Amino acid sequence: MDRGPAGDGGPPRFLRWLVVVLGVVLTVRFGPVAFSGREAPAYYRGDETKVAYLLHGAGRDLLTLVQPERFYGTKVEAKNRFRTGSARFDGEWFFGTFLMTVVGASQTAIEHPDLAADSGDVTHLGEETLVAPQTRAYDTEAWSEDALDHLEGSSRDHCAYLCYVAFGLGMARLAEPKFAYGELHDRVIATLERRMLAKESLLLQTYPGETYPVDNAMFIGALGLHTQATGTDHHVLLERWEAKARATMLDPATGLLVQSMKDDGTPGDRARGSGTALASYALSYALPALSKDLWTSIRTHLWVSVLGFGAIREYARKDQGHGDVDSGPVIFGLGISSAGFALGAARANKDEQAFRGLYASAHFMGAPIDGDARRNYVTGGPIGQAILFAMMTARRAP
Amino acid sequence: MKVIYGGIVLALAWVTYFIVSQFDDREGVTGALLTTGSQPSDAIFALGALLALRFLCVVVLPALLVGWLLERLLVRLHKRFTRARS
Repeated sequence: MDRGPAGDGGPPRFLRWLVVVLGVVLTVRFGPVAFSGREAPAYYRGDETKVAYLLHGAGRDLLTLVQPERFYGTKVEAKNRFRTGSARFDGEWFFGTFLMTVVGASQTAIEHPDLAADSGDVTHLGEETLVAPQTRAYDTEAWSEDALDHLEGSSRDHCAYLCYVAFGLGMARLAEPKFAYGELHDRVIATLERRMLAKESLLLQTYPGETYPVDNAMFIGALGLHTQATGTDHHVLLERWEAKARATMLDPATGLLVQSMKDDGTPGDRARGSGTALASYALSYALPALSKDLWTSIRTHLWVSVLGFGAIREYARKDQGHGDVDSGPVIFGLGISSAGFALGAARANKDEQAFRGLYASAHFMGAPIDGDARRNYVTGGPIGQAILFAMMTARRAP
Repeated sequence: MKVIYGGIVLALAWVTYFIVSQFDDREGVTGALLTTGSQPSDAIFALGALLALRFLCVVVLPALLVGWLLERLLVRLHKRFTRARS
């Protein structure tokens, strides 16, 4: 029998190699996911210290975004740190970073009253920027009018800005006893409700000629938040929208949310993971049954587990497609945005197993670093940090 | 000795990873790289280096180290067993 080095009398060479291969295979299978997912249970439970680190990390990012920042050795204006190649998307990402941070900080204040002071600092900075004219310039340019200056007189939907700002302000209003933008928030909600009810499709346009159900789902989530914060009754629209969504906005084969709709109310694109996951998260605040059904569809048709790491396909298994600004890069069919938003949908729908798998992926790819009582996920940048913060602090269903 | 060398390489890889991640975080290099094309090419290199180092630290080196450790353990057990028999 072949032995190890001549004369050492050791075990057979094949046995030594077998042990090496066995060790490598078992370590690759169980080691990385155990290492990367070790904090997932704490985040799922809402561990206060862990959440405080996320809050401080996201807060630091906001501070750097509102002042000229040294970027790659030179001073640049904050907004110019986003360089997607499109001024509209740069504006969306700048707005999205503040929105998601406000949402995350407000959710933190609601779940952890001891962190309310720190959350309040972050939320106030975020709110100020959310309602500033330059923050919604991407929407103003697309619609040729300012969304907030034309709330009552205009019939233009402005869902790219208004649907999301309604959600962000709604979450902040729930968290803050002395909310400074109550009157503006009420006007935005009333305007969008009136515009939506005037449409047969119950869908607002994001940009002229562009309609996305996921953006409308954000507004529906905002209606739920508005009810919780003020007691205002929106059940008529909520019930009608849920029925309409189930009839026209879901892919009949998979139950996933169609990404875009045509003016005649028929699907303009396939169902997508990123849109479905974000909608499932947002709807958990207004239409929990629909949110749960969307999450079940994600688990059935988009969920992938690789070596214990959780991932979400951007398109259902029979479909192939490329990534875009909504999905982020799509690698081997797996979406970056869909996995990030699915973290929130999983927590909102109390799916701890999925949350653990997805968090392990986010931790591995996000490259977190800790310091000064804060945590930042380096590879996602400010918008990635903000999205993770909002999704990892999503409210769990009662 | 292989195990000691492996441990040293793993430790060095982690140290390098932390240095690169600190740089990326402070400079905001990776933050604007989700869509590339208008970024300095060396910023993309920094992101690639960070992820490659992370893969090395979390997956490759620990797996090799465990494999070596088990092999050394097997050799020691075999020696002890054969000595006891003789």
